[in-house]
Amino acid sequence: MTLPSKGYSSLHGDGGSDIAGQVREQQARLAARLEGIDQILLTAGGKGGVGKSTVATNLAVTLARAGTQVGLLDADLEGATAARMLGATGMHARLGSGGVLPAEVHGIRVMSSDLLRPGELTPLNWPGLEDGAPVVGSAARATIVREFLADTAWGKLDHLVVDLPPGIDLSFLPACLGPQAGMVVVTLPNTVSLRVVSRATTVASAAGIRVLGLAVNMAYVPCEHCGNRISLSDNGAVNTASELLGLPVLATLPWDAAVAAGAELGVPAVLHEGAANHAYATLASRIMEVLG
Amino acid sequence: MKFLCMACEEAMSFEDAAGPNEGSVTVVFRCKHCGAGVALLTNPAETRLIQALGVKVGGRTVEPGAFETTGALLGTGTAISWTSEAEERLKRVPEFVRPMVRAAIERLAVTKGATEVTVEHVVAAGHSLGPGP
Repeated sequence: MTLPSKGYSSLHGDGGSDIAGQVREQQARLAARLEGIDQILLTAGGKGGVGKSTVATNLAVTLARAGTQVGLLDADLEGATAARMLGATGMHARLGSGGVLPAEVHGIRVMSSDLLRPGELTPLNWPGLEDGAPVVGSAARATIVREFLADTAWGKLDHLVVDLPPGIDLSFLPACLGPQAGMVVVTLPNTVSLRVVSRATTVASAAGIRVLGLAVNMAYVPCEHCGNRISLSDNGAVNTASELLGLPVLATLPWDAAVAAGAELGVPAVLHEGAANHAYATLASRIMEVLG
Repeated sequence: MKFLCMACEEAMSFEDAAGPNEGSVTVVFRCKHCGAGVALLTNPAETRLIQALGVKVGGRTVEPGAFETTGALLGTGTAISWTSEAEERLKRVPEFVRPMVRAAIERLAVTKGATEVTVEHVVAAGHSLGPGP
């Protein structure tokens, strides 16, 4: 067989599709939207079930109650819960002149795949599974998150809280988020969870995302009589992880029946006076301190 | 990916694209010098991958709509509101095909730059879909 003398780089253009140009336009559209957002706060945890969505929603409400402009993006496409936790059930995203209008609840602008479902229990028509092509699912996830960021009419925001899905893979996040993003790593106060945290922070740092610190969830139960804290935490493991990772403990958060009930009812616990309210105020304050 | 005409050793240019049809997209490239053509045929997984990247083979003539790829991938249609008159008009469509017709009408409205579906969109979609509402 005679091979051609010209190679890929010898040919100018791509025949007319200008795929590279289309990708540049996608990135430019995203960058234009992100210009209106001062700070992106990612809630991550590595392990599932540590309370990322609970932390994301209560943190967002706390920041909004402090008078800042706040958005919340639920990037957990299949397991979206943040909209429901905020009480945004029954709301649907609508198209406006400046993009897709987010739902507004408790002073927070919310975008979630939940808002795109025709019915609350209707599963999304997730691509790729029927083709047996996992790469399609990965590309789809990245595109959907990019469109959620770029096409939602967020307006001017002081903070955009992004609730990440479980796991340590961040490849679906646009690379341009790095400089604007800070990650709050949510963990349980035990060795099992903290080991995954270590892996998650390594991945985040490699992606150019600044890791702000640890939010230790379900760390204590507040006594309903005297207000004292009944510790559920292995303080030794938390302190060791904090030292080894070089990350501050931003706050310890309670395992509080009010928090669980709030999530069920769509009324975040921080809206009421109590242990959660104070703990999340501490978390928000420490985040702002670390950001400087 | 690029296509090289082996006879002319020149890049082939995009000519046309069709589909998806049964999950496959056909993309035709042709050599401007000798006229030789090649058709790229994608399998369903490759078609989905192109869709998942949010790019158009052959380039774009219009800017992508908001949540364009999201709506297509998740089967949710576009996030567009309807006037009450348009909703009433849609009720003339048999219930079992109404979701599909609704999605088609919304796509038509979005391509026209609308942020709300009106009766005019419903009627226009009816003309393009055949006997309709």
